[in-house]
Amino acid sequence: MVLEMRSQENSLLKISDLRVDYKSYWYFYHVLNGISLNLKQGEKVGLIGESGSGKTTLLKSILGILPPQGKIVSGDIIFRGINLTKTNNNILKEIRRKSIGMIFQDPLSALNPVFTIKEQLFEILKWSSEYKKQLNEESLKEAAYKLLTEVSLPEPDRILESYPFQLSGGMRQRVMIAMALASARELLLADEPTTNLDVTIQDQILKLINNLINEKKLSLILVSHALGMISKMTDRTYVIYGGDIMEEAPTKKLFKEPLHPYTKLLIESVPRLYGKGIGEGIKGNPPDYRNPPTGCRFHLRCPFASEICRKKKPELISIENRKVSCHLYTEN
Amino acid sequence: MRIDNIINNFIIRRIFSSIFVLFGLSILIFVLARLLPGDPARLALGPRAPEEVVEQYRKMLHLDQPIYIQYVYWLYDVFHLSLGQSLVTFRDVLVDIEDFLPASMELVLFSAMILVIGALSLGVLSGKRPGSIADNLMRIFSYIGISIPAFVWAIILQLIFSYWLGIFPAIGRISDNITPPPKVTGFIMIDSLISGNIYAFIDAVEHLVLPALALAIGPIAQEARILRANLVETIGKDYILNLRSHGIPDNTIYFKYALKPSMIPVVTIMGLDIASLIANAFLVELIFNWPGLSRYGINAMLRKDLNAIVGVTLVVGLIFIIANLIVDMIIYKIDPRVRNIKSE
Repeated sequence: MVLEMRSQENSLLKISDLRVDYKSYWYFYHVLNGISLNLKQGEKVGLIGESGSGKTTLLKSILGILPPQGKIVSGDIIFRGINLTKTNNNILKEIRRKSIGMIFQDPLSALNPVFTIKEQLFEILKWSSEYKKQLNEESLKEAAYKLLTEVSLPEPDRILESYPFQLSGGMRQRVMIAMALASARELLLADEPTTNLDVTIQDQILKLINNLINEKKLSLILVSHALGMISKMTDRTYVIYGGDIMEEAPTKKLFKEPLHPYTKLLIESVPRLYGKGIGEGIKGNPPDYRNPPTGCRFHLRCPFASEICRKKKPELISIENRKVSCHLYTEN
Repeated sequence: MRIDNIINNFIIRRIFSSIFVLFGLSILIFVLARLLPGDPARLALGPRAPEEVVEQYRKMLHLDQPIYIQYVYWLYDVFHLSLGQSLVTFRDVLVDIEDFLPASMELVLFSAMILVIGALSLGVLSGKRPGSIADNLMRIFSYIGISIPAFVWAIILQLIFSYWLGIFPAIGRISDNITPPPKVTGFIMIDSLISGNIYAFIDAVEHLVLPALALAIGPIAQEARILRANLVETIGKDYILNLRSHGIPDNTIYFKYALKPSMIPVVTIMGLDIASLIANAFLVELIFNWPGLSRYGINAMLRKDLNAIVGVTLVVGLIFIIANLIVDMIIYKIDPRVRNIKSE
């Protein structure tokens, strides 16, 4: 164990060859198709890709909170030398309580509609606290006030007594962030934290998250389709399509000089205020996970697809300090 | 303080509207009962009564008047605490109902108790681990439970538990060799406790078990299924995954944060099912020779006992209204979203 930890010294989270299936009554959906991801201590990593590419599933797998129909088929998720897919339940719960926190995509559906914010936040604080046995109503309240102030929510008393539906979208997202912060002492997973907000509030929330992770020295995995946000906030970015990593590169480099055809199309399809106007978009739909395409999962929509793309899944190869999974490229 | 006001207003509003519902129901039933073919006066007095006597009886019941005048007479009686004379027992229908209703209510309430406990525990047990043996057994039971009507359950239970196994008595409310307690509430269980007669109490409970179970099995199966389905859906929701992401113990999540939102639709259906017990009780009471409202009600229908039909229907209607009122109050308590709409 000690040896293992030393060898991983710099690495906070290492995911290798992760496969996740969802099961419906009739079908298996092979969603994550062998994802590998690496996160160093203090690093901020972005995850981009269109809807339905498996980004949220990846985040939920890290915490082991897939819905009942989802299942990790194979692969390792190693956090601080502990393999989360194989460790016992108590250790996993401790990590969920005190190390990793997650901001869910839609705060309205991620807050229980029939309990007040107070009931939910206190429950979370109770379990994430270091001194669980000494906790009383007063100290919980103090901790809750502190969190709500950190996320710049005024009138904490009113917020605590409210039910989720009584708050505005921005307030709900701040409550959501406060909850995530209660548990995130090392790693924050943010699943499209601004998608459900209007533009002015998006910017505030973004700044808030940025300040908080800098202040608390948290590592970050940020999922978003908002590429602007990714480029502002992250050091390194993974491009994910159809449950596969397509490309990985330092964020600046990725946006300046994308290698993978999918990344190129994705960046081109972002609408711009000036210049070309609305981009082309990428023709076609995300793959059918019941029966995913053979070879490269992107080949059906790829303008450069050739015979080999249909047959063989490309390896993730290194080019300088970046990686790409495409048959157009060969290792150095 | 403000919340209390709102609740009070809400209840007062509901009671107020309930009066109108009862009023409408009385008109509907009153008219329907009189539209049925057949001559109630002739049926009441028998084929051999002379025509003049029948005519006179008809006059006494105001059956010779137009229907709206008849209704006004009936309403006048209601305000003087009378539901009119029964054409079968020749007593006031209200007195008859007072006699027969407690037995039915005792059965229905006991059955409702079994229903609530049974449905909740089966639903929770089976939703906890979908696909487990307990879950699959529950689902088989619920298919059987839903597809077999209460009176068939009555016969099956009677056959197994009283004729074959002899554990529970087959008929009646209390054994012949036990002196019934003096009537206070009309509920033998409660009356025997009041008079301190523990043997009568045990005997009364033994008599209640089979008919109450026969009535409850169908609704238990139905609601356990709904609760299970809701629970299974709820535990995949983001607000449960969010709590799981914070390492909150599974049982706290399941029994507190998943159960409460899953209960809301169940409470509504449960209220209606409990109210329906009184209607389903008719056949079960016949099978178990239970001296409740059923025989009275059925006789009223068969013999075109106008006032009794209206009286019994109103009682059933009243029970439905009260059940709905209670359901609304419970939902008002557990669902803040409803509370918000109501308070606006």
